[in-house]
Amino acid sequence: MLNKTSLDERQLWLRGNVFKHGFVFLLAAMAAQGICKALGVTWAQGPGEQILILWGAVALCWWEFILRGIDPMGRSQKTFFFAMGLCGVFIVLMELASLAVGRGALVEEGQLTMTATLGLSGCLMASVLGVYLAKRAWDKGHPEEDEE
Amino acid sequence: MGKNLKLKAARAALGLTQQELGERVGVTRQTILAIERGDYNPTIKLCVEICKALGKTLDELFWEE
Repeated sequence: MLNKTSLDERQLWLRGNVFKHGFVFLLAAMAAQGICKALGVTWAQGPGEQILILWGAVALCWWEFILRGIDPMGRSQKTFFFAMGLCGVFIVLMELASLAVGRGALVEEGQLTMTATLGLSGCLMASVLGVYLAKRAWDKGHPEEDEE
Repeated sequence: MGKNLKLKAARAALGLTQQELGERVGVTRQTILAIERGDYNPTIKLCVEICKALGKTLDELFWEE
């Protein structure tokens, strides 16, 4: 039988697909970044490129988990989404405040600054909560009953 | 893989919803829905569980001519 945190066989299959999609995205993004490096193109300062690629892959996996209705963390998943999303919102607000007082810029010499990198990372984190809330609202409007 | 109308008919004959059948065999309603729609190919273990829950044989529910 299923308990609060276990997945049935279809969900396990879907979870595998989600990880596969995240891995393929990561590989593609790293390959693209490698090509950029080979061509002498740097699009973000410091470790910004790696941070954004990593967060992109993580956010992609979480979006797919949410949209496919897979809860690998059970009840604690909701808390996790809220914690991550609020952290993201907080980071974005901090970076916006930093920009507002004139400390740093979003782009310098054609590269994203660390301020922009952190802001975008915060957006990705907040997007997980956003997708979760949107899915929950959708589910409430479409109560579970037999479907054709 | 086409729709599994035999499974749907057997479930309906017992007056079970997808949710109730899912609870009996230990899967989610969405998994039963996916099997009936032909979107998911269940393992033999789950097929047997479903057959037991509906009082049918594997042939009756899952064999395709």
